[in-house]
Amino acid sequence: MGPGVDAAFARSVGRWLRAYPRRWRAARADEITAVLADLAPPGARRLDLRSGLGLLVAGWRTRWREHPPPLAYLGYVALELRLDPRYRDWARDDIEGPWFVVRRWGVAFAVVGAIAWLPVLGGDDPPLDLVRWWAPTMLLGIAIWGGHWRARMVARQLVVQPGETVTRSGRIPGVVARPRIGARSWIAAARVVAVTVLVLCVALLVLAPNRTDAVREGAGLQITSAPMTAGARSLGLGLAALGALVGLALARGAVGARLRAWRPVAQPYRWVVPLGAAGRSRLAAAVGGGALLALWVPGFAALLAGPVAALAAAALPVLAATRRGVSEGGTGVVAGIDVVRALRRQPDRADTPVDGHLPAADWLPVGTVVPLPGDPAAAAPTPGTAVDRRG
Amino acid sequence: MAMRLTEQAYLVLLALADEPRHGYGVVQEVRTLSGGTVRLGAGTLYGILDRLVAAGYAEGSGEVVVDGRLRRYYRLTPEGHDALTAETARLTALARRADRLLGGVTRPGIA
Repeated sequence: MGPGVDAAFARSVGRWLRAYPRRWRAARADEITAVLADLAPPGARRLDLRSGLGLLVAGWRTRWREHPPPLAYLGYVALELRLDPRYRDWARDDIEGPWFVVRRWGVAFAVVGAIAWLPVLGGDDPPLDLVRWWAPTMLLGIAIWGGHWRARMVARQLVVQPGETVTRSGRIPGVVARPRIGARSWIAAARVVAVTVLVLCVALLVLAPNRTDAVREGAGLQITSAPMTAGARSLGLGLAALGALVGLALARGAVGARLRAWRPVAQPYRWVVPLGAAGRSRLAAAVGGGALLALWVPGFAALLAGPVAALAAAALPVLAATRRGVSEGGTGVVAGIDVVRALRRQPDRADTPVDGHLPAADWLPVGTVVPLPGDPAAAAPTPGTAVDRRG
Repeated sequence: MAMRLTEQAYLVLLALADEPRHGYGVVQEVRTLSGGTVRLGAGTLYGILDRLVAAGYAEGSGEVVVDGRLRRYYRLTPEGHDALTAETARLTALARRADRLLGGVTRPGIA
């Protein structure tokens, strides 16, 4: 928003505008904020309740208007059936949204859960173990495979077919620049992960009653569970403290020098992107999945808590110093991968293009009908060769 | 795609009849046209504009930034003009019929 609208007022409007679909907000937020600023009394720093409720109702009406019918939606969610192209904009919002992979795996979770619980109707005990293990598996699946699922749905739902009309949400297959998470976004996410892991590990070290242990019995090792002694707790917490000291030492000396010494190569096939809502949901799934696993196997988690806490404690000051170094400039670090390579003193490597999707509007103007095979009108620019941006 | 014109949608179309207007300009013009009785909120206005654009009755006609505020202008399309003319004719005929009816009826009094 420009300087003409008070920042606090714009933030207030932005909160109410969340009722609208993401794509709508991206296209119209500045415009409607300006209108609301014109309508508001001079000096207003927040949107009045009446106008806010009006936005809320209108936003949900817009969502409802653009939503596919219930049966089509069910086929889309449960069976990944292709929606009618008139719902392509809605599908794009959905696929790019933070809840897409969560819901996608939630459906799989519900189906497996329902099948597993069927014997309960016959009087069997509920399969709590299955549910217990399936939840972290699902979360880790979201973290690892989320991007793959998303790309598959883009190919199925958004790629324009011959005979369909090109819209802004339409996509065509193509070779695209490799997306890399921006350095600032990457560092922020890494700090959240490090803090979360450190807190969980310290909680485990303080509270866990037992830990997994290996006892030598003759020639072999016996894996067993041993009480968590005060010595074991102190050792784990000591490791964490040691990690923090090592991290502080690295942050004071090596980090700045390594960032400044970083020599980037030209990256014509790289596209630096923020982590985004989808990335954040995958990250949250990874942390949640790890935390659930730690809950289900507390003894093993307590065994690992000390070394893991040390790593997290070491990472925090290093990440803080890295953020400072990137903010102050004087380094060629741009992407998260650059941070990793610079801190590890590895040379930079040029990214290569990857398969992806491009906006169909880069190929044919919006509103054009995609020619059928053999149609003479197909003498349009060849799709799928742009590498300077992602679809 | 034809669209049923509510009173508010009709007034928005009417506000765009003489010249392209931005959102705030439409709100002001609608207030003037309705004699101050219709005050459009931003949510209502953009819901109507979305539907008018989807129906092909209105379209964007450029944007400018004034004092740091984005102004996107909307204008009537030929289809929008036709719809507005047809709706105005319908309302005129309705008003004429109402006039005829009321002309022959005395005001009910209290017995």
